[in-house]
Amino acid sequence: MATKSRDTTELFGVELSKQTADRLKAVGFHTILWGSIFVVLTPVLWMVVVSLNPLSFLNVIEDPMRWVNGVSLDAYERAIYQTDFLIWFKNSAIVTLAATALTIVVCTFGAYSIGRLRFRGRKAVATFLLLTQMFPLILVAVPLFLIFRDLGLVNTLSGLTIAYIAFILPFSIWMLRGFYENLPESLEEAAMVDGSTRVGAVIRVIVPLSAPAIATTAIFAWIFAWNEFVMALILISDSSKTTLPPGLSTWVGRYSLQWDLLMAGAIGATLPLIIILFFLQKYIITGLAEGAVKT
Amino acid sequence: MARILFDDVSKIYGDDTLAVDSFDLEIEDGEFLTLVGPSGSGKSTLLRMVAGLEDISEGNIHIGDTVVNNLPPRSRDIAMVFQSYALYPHLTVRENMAFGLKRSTDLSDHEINDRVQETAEMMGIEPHLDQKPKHLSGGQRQRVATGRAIVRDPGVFLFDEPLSNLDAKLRKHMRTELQRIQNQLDTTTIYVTHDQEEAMTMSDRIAILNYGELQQVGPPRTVYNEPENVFVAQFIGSPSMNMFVSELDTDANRFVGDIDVSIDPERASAIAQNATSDELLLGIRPEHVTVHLEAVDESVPASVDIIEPLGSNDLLYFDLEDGTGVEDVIADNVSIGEDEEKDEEEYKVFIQPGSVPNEYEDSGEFVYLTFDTEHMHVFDPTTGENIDVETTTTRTPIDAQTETAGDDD
Repeated sequence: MATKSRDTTELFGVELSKQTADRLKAVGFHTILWGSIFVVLTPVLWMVVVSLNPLSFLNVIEDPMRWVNGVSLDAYERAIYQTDFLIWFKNSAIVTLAATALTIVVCTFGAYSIGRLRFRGRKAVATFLLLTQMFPLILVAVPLFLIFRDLGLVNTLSGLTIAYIAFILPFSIWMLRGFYENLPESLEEAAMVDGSTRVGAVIRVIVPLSAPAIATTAIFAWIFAWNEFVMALILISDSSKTTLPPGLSTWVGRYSLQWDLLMAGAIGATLPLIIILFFLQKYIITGLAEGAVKT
Repeated sequence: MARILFDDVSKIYGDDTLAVDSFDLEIEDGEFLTLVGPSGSGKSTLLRMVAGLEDISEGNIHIGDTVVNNLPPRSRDIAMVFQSYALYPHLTVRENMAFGLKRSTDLSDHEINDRVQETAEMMGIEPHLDQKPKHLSGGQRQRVATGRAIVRDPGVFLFDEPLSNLDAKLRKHMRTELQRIQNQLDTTTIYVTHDQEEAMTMSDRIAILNYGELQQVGPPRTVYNEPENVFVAQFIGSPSMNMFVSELDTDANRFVGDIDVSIDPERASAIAQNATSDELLLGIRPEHVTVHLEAVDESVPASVDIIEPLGSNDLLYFDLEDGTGVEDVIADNVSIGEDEEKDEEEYKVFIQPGSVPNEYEDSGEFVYLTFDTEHMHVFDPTTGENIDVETTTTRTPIDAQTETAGDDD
């Protein structure tokens, strides 16, 4: 490049003025960016379109006005008043909230002890935790059903919550552990010299400092529990006890042609996630970056 | 207020890493004791054992009349200032300082606030009370960390290299300030540093450690003037002590070798009695060497390497014509400190600025050195011990007392 004059540059082997090259790069960048966003958001958009007026794709493209004229909230009304949607929503909310809250509590202390305390077998415990993540959910689900049946936890929301926690914990402990390993040890030592017990030091100093990491873990737990299908399907048999994903799936058989109802339900199920992610997304980013650079 | 007693304290990491080896020491109530030594000498480990942040492998540590081995840090009546300051980043300065008082006392919020205010005034951090630590400069953070320790009014202060993150000027300033505070509060203090200058200037007594072993304890002047072994001699004092290799000729009452000096007959025979090897190490500090431009009686010729202007004095580095390396004579198990290992045979002398013309540098022209034998130390290279009767008989009583401190419990 040293031989070229200052205001020209090379782009894919073609020599261009610097300004043109910058402009071309920007255009390329934005094309790729908006292209990806479009690809990702099209299903969501289609969900909205169909929930308001269940026309086929071709019909919408050929005559958009026909779609506009037929727009109605009828599907939403049916979902709310003629199905168990609200019950499922409530069940999902209960299970997800409980699983997230309990995961946070257990995972904070679990990750702290594996990341910080020096005890024999610490590494073995950590590796074992990771090992449990090797099995697909469906493989665990059947033995879990048998155990839960014996314990009387089948067909209860608390049973489902426990199952979710069991599945979320290993990964979230691993996520938080890395963060705790990088937190300066002197902070909790200072708190312990200053009159705290170790647990007190964790609660008063470590937990506030790890808020972003904990938020990331919480989001992870929330998304998992809210979207989970297989375990809910296997462990719950009553429609009044089931959660949104298996609940919505029952519509497929009975109302297989009611796309608008299905899509309205899907939007209802997605909204809470979108809202939560919208407010907490900054924590995901800081949470993921924090462990790496904390001094 | 509390005295601290180390009774045969050892720390073993894992199965076989000995960090502290049978450490005995008594620290008087209100005393400022500095633990000094190179990296890995076990000084921080000792401090952390007092704080309760490290288990004690063997022996006992007493604070006041209590054996604290099994007490958690919060029950030891101590306050600690960490090298990294360890300020709670999510709390304001005020909350940082009040943290310990809230946990360890029954004081009302009002009283706590008063005490925080008072200490903040004393430390000059009052305007920053409502700021978070990340908005403070290094010096201010240091003050907050110290203030957080002071406000609790503990029995013992523990400082773990608190000034090492500050720049040189601020470090000197804070050094004086910490000393002033300690004098004012009169609280027993253990101060860990690897900086011998800090140790010399601040402490009532210095304890020098190397490889987990206590080398010498005493007031700064004593360890400087009467080092008990070659490690202490090299470690304390900057620039470090010159080490020459010479043999003692008892018939002529003279040392012959790198440098030739005569000593009085009684001293010569005492040294001869203590020595286990022919070649001995003569330690002379840079201020106890005199440089002459012409040969004088008993002088040793030397070539000038470089002259460093330091301000009030200049430091002249010299080479001897054919000096024996200290490394060649010293036993493998005797530690002489890192300085000497790195700049082996680097001889220094303080001179008046301009007293030796700069043309002498690297010119091959000789200057002539005489040595103040009164201030000369003689070390046995096989044991590293100071075998000079001159220094071993003039020990101060406090020195003798601390040597037996471990036995009186």
